[in-house]
Amino acid sequence: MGKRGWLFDINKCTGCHACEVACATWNQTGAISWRTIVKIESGSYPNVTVRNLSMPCLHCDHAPCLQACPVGAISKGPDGIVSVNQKTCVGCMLCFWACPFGAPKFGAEGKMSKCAYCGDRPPELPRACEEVCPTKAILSGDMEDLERTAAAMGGERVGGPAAPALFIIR
Amino acid sequence: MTAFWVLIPLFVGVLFIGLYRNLFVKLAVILGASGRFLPARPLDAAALGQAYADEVLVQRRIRLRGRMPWARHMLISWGFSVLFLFDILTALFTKYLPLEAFKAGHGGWLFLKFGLNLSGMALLVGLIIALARGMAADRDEEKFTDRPGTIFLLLVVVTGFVAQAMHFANQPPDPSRAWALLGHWLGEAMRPGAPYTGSYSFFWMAHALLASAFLAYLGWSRMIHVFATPLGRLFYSQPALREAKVRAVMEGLLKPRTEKS
Repeated sequence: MGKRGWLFDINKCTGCHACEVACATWNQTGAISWRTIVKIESGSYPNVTVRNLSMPCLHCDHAPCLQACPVGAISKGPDGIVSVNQKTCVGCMLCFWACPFGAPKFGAEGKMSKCAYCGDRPPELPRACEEVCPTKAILSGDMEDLERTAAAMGGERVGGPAAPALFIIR
Repeated sequence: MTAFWVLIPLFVGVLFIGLYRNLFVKLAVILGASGRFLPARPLDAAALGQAYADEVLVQRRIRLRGRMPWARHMLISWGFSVLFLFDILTALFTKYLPLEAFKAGHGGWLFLKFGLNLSGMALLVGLIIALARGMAADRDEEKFTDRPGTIFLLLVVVTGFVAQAMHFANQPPDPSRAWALLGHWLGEAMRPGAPYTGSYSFFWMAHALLASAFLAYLGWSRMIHVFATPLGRLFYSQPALREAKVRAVMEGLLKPRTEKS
């Protein structure tokens, strides 16, 4: 299996929050949502635009959270998935500041938790968020496949030093 | 004794290297990854103060997990901090600034002994609870257990109490020493076997070396949370900053690469 990632089509996302609910339900995260809808408003009346971004952990190639963790609790697997060992995590929250996307979440107990790419779901199934998205704005899968799909749809991989595993269609 | 004076600065050096490698370098990573997205605005002082009180002073987040985890952590963290403070005061007033009030048996000396022993006892109780709970912890609770750190610190505390008790047992009885609490009680209990000469030197040396080695260990283990967690949580107390950072990144994501500066 190659490296895994995401493809997100901004034009399709309606900000319905179904992905957030599916994520929290599948992963039993309670009040915390590992996926967050961010609404970006621009323009001024009457030419106003609202665009929604559904953001999980982007499993960056050079994950800043991993580099910032003082106790080595965060690791990256051969499939590119960035995961956190809660037994090692000390809940210092430095990973939150390192992550440009605000992916690390903290519950009442203070330990970091975040999207683990639905690690307990069979890989052939879509991720929980992807499965429920009514507009198919979210696509998960092998990075090489996603790259081809994104290219066909006019999308591109998100840049930056962290190299997030995300293709985006604007 | 020479080896001792060589090892102490070595251990302190290891602590500073650990703090540099495992904390300061990490902070530089954070600034590199997210610094450009953080708006230049003053920190919310009230939120900082509230976070300091909640996370550091009363440790409210641990309280949410239950009374016992909270009591245990409060005993350990406050016991350790106050003990460390009293250790510094003791070194200052008995070695480097030897005032009359801090000579053995005087009021200042008794106050230092009282503070050292009370905080040491709090730490000891907290560590014993932590060790017992760690042995009985279920899988979910295991993620809050740091057994190596607990055992290490327990050795430091136990050797400290034993060395002090032997020292007291070697001295003539003095009722004012009751202010030394556990050290005094143990000393009186051990008096029939006095004098302890070789064993006292051994325990004192073991305590001093273990305490110094523990300082080195702080920078290279999960114990680094002593420094990292208050820092991270104080930053986390700034919701406007958090939101502004994520928003700046998201707005950047909306722009095609060619539009970005």
